[in-house]
This record gives sequence, structure tokens and C-alpha cells, in this order.
Amino acid sequence: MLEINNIRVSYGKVEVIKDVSFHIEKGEVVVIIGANGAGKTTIMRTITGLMKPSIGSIVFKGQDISKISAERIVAAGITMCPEGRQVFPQHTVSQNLKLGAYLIRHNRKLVQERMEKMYELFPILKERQQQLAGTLSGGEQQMLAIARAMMVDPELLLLDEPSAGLAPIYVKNTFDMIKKLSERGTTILLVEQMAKMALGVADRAYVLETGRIVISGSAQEIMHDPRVEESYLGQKKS
Amino acid sequence: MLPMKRKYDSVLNSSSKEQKVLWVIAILAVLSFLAAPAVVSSYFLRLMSLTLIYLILTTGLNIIAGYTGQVSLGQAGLYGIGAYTGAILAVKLGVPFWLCLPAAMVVAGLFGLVLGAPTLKVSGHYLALITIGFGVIVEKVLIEWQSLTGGAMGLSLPGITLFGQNLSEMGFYYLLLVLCLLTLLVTNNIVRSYFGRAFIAIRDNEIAASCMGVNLTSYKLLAFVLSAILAGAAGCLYAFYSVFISPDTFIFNLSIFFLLTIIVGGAGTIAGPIIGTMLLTIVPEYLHFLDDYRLIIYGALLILSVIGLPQGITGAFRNKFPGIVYFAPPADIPDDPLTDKSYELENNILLELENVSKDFGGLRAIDEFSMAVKSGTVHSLIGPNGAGKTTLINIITGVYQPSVGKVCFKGKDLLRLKPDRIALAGIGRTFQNVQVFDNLTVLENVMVGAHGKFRSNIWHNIFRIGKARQEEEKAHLQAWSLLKMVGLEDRASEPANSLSSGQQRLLEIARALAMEPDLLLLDEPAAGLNEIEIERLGEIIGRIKDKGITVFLIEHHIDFVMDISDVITVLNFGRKLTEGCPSEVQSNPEVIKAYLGTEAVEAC
Repeated sequence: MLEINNIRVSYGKVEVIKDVSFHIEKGEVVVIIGANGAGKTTIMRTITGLMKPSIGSIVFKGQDISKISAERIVAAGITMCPEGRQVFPQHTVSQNLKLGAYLIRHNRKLVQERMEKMYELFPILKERQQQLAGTLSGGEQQMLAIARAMMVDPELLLLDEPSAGLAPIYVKNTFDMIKKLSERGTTILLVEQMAKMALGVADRAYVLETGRIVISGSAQEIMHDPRVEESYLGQKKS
Repeated sequence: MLPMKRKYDSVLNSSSKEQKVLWVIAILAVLSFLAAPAVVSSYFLRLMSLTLIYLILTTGLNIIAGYTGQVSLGQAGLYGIGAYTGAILAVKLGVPFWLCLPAAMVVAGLFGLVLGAPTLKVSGHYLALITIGFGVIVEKVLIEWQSLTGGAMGLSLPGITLFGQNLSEMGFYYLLLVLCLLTLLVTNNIVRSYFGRAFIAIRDNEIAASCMGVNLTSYKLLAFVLSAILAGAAGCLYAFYSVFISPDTFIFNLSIFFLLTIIVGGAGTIAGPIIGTMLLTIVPEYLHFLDDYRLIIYGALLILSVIGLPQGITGAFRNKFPGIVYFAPPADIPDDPLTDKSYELENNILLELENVSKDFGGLRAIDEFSMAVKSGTVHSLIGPNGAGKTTLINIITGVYQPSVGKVCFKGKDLLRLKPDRIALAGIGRTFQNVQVFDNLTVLENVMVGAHGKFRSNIWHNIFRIGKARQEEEKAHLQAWSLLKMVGLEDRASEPANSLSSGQQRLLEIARALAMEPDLLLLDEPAAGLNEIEIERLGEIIGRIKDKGITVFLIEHHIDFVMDISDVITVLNFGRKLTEGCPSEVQSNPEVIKAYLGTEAVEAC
């Protein structure tokens, strides 16, 4: 569904992504793990068109999207849920969802339908639909952020560190949520620091190191790869 | 931009290629200004003199509008005050130029204080409007106060005499050149000292700046006064140079012109006003055939410049040649940047909160919370998102005032103290939503942390002498050492906003440690770090603790918290749920229900 071919991305003169290629099949959950500053967020930003690769192509459903604008990429079916939740705190839950539906705003019936679907998927949001998003708990805000991204019914959902800054009790919920979306048929690209949890919900994984993909494989293989255990999973103290 | 270097013989060794090229350009520029009178026509020489006068003013304006980020559109008013102070003293009292100049600087400086006062309340476009009002008032007073200013008829001045001789056109040009170079030198020294870093810190992030110990009020006023003094000097020079002044020179359009030179040239760089002033003074002279359209062209330039080169000409250069900003690492970076605080360890209570409550509107964020943090411990605060943890840190650091209750640090009441005073008392912090100074380099960010350690005054720093130089070198070395400790020494010369968010968190820790705090407040330092990086963070916190620095930690990575903490306080809905050692807290059923979840406990 998505194919990234030999892209390079730079900030000014600093090349952050050095020749990266990978692909995502329809219906998969793919996770990218890697150290801080390895370029994970840059990859996300490049797929969504916020940054442009200096070389290489990004092919989504047979079309090269590496040169088209961010809005048109959303319209093409890719949405990102950014790091740090970033809900609109002074808007109610339902207003947040409507803002997520900006692209389909002229079809009120469809917006209403999708909202009902989201409420069905996340019943707690229905209970809180008139509450200001800023007053939700962290876990609920994360849920809202994902539901908002889902309002345009994307074919590919990008999640940038959904567990960051969440209390442990919500981290589990977040991964449950990802599983649920995947079961409904959404294709997901996930960037996560909680490597173990992420690998638990993923089908395949890539390990990114200073702008290069160094290891790739099924989530199971990666989880038991000694290099990954040593560098990313940490030695659990017993 | 001239690079900052301590010893001239080491300049060549420790500069990047780009910096060497800049030195050559600067020297060539000075040489061509020196040679100009022999080459150019007298008309062009007058134009160059006027450019030099303007440059003194715009360099000053750059301090306030460029470095400190407080927009002033009243600079023509200060320029007029300087001009009229000089003219009135010379005409009415026969005071010689050499005394008129400092008098004009003092008077304009005092008005700068008046003009700066509103910045304590407002900023951005509100401040711009207030400064416009100031400029208009000055203009009208100059017209209406006829007995003093001569009204619309203006004032005629005597020339400058030097050794009994009248100063020639060329003599005046060289006088202006010397004063202009002096202005640039002094300004360069100030903006590269801890004063300049404080200015930029204020521009980039006022809250973070005050939490590093920067007194916002005095630094903003200082920036206004410095810019006013230079505007006054330029005004007085203008009066004596043109030998006749009238109010219609000091109008609002001129203020816009001054601001425009900085925006076009590049705000917040030394070369910005130089390029902008030369461009906008000299080029329009060749557009005289368009006379009525000149302002339209200014307007178009402003629009094009903001769209095409949002950071001005120098900003565009800096993006193209990042090597322009480069700090050579010191020969050997000391391994141990931390000051030993363990002599203060007596297991005393370092920080105490008593019945603290905080209301936001109708919402009670913190509800009768009490807590004691013992010195030398790692004390963690955990709780669900929205429980009020960050609010508590903001109360401790003075960003918020509690609605009721008491906060004591080292036995002293912190209530109603501003964040900068609390920072200087020995509390350093990091921020949950990273708050680095985007436009300073990584190294300079850390040096802002050392702000409170500087004792040298502005005079030391104007000429970069003795104490100022020693302190700067010490802070420099310590900053390198701190960067090495958090593993960011390779990124020292890059702007802080080029780091990833996790790296910015580490930078914030280094910056807070540069304050040499007794108490370090860390707000989710591990967010965005992977497990290995978290282990490294644990080692860093261990080193901090070993030095007797008390750590107060907010964090969600529960294994990390359990490993590292001596005491854990659990907060839920603004209230203390429980407090105790890690094992007690971990097995507390209420904590499991509200925060940990059953899964997390099984995993441990």
C-alpha cells in the first residue's frame, strides 16, 4: 500500500534520513523503533508531506506522493496523530471530532455517521461529548486524538509516540485501542519508545539508527533479536 | 557576524572556515569605509555619514527589537529627543558638542526608561502601539513648545570645533566612523555576554528565562535604555552634522524606516542592521526619480523581505552557511561539571509545602496538599495525567501563586517571590513541554542556566575585561562539561530547536544543572526516551544525587521511578493519595486502582 524508496531528508545541511526504504502492506501494523534523534518523527513528517525528501519516492496506492502538499495527502487517505496528543483543549469533545472531519465537512450526514461510529468504538467519548477536551484525563485525550484522526476514515493511520507522557494505566489502554483499530482493518504505522509494548501489537518492525534502517523483520523476530534486546529493550532487572 | 573569541592568537585555530571568511569581509568593509572619502563624491560622502548616524541608532534598536524581541516603533521620538537635547544645550547655553553628546545620551536614556515601562505589562502589538503613541507625542511637543524648540521653524546649530578648528566634512565623517565602530564593538560585546544571552532568552521564552534566574523587568528595561542611549547619541550627532533641525525629521515614518532596516538586514545579528541600514539609506537615493513612490517601495520591500527572507539577509546566510555559528570545543572538557552540595546534607527538610491549594476559575487543581522533600534524596511525584503534578512544580518555582498555603525552601518562605528569585535561591527545573531557547545554540542554552553565577557588571562586559572574561570562560567550560555529561557535546554549535524532543529534554537537564541548584525539579525527563536512554538518564540522576543535589521527579515510566526514588508521593485529583518508599507505594491498592493498573504491577 505504501512504499518508501531510498528517501533522503535534510534539515538545512544536516541529513537526518539517509537512504531509507520500507513498505507497508494493507491491513498491517508496522512499528519503527529507534533511539532519540534517529529520525523517526522525520519519517512521519515526510510521509504526511510536512517535509519533502531531497531524493527518493513515496508511493501510496501506486501514486508518488513525495511532492504533493500535506492537505492533499490527507485527502488521499493518510492521517497522522501527532506526538503529545494535541487536542484542542478549549473545544468540546464533539467539536474536536468535527474539526478532524474538516475534509468531509460539506457532507454533514457522513460527519454525523462517522461520529456515531467513533462513539461506538470509544464509548467513553460519547459520555464526554460536551466536555472541554482540556478537562479530559491523559488517556481520554489520547483516545480523542486518535478518534479525531479517524474521522476522515484514513486508509493509513500514522501514530507518533501515542504512549508518551501517559500514566501507566493509560498506556495499556492505548495499545488496546491500536489493536482494536487494526482489527477493524485500519493500516497503521506506529513510532514508539515503549518498544516491547509496540512489538506486542505489531506485525512487522523496522529499527532505525541515525537515519538508516539497520534491522527489519517480523515483530516476533525483532523482539528476540539480540541486538534489539541489548539496544532498545533494556535488561529488565528482576 | 563576528565570532566570539577570547584570545586573538587562537582565533585562527578555533574558527570555522565560514568564520574566517567573515573576518576577512569585516576587515575589508572597515578598510573601504576608511578609504571612502578619498574616492567618493562629497554628495555620496554625506550619504555615508548619514548611514553611519542611522547605524548607531539601528544597532541600538536591534538590541531591543532584534535580540530582546520587544518591538519599538517610537525610535524616531528618542532620536528627536537626542537631537533637540544637543541642539538646545548648544544654542541656548553655548554648551560644546563634546558635552552635548553625553547629555543627549543621558536624557534619551531616561526617556527610554519611560518608554520601556509598559513592557512590564504588555508586549507584541500592544507594545508597538504604545511606542507609536510615544513617538507621536514627542513629534507634537517639538512642534508646539516653540519657546524651547523653535517650533516648526526649527533650530540652527553651530558646528563642532576641535582644537580650535571647525570640523570639516571629512573630519566629521571619520568621527562618525570611529563612534560607529565603537558602538558595534560595545554592542557585540554586550550581546555575546550573559546580558545578551538573557535578552535572547527573554525573546525566545519568557517563562523559561525567568526560571533560569533572569529578571525580566530589569533586563527588558536595560535593553530599552541601551537602545534609547544609542538613539540619543545618533540624534545629537545628526543635529550637529546637519546644523539645522526641525520637527518634521522626527516623524513616525522614520521609526518605521528604522525597524525596516533591521527586519530586512536580519534581526538579532550584529551584521543585520549594518546591511539593512546601508541598503535602505543608499539604494533609495538612486530611486529619487520615483520620489513619491519611495514609501511604496519601502512597503513592498518589507512585504517581500518578510515573505522571502523571514529572518532577513543575515538569517538567510546563516541558514545557507550553518558553519557561521561555531564554538570550538575546549582542549579538554572537564569530566565533573557538578558542584558538590553534599556538605549541606544533614537530612534536613529542604522543601516544604503546607496546605497548598490552587484554583483555576472554579476548578480546584491542587487541594490542601502538604509535602516535605528531604535534602539529598530522589523524591518522585506520580499520578494520573491531569492530577496536578506540573501545577505543583509551577507553584514551587513561582510561575503560579497558590490560592492558599505556604511553600518554604531552606526554611525561607517562597511565597510571592518571582520565578527568577526562586531560581537564584537554588531551585532549577525542566519543563514537561520542552522550553528550550530555540534561537540560541545548544551550548548557549546551557550558559543561560549559569546566568545567576555571573557577578560582573555591564561595564566589565562592555569592554569584555577582567572579571567578565574570566566568568565567561568558566561558564563556557562548565557548559561543555555538562553537555558531555548528557551526551550532547557534538551538537553544541547547533540551534537548540534542531534537537529531537528527547534530546531537548536532556539539554534542559544540563541547563538546569548549570544553575548549580540545591534542588532540581525534573518534569517527565524520560518522556520520548527509549529504555536504554532511560537507563542512561538513571545514571545521570545517580551522579546528581551523589553530589548531594536533591532531585524532585515527575515521571510516568514506573520501573524507572521505582528504581531510582527514595520517596514517592502519589497525587490524584490534586490531593495526596499516599506517600512512602517505592515498595509501599507499589503495593498500595488505591495507587494500583488510580494509577498503575493491574497490568503494570504484574509486569514488575
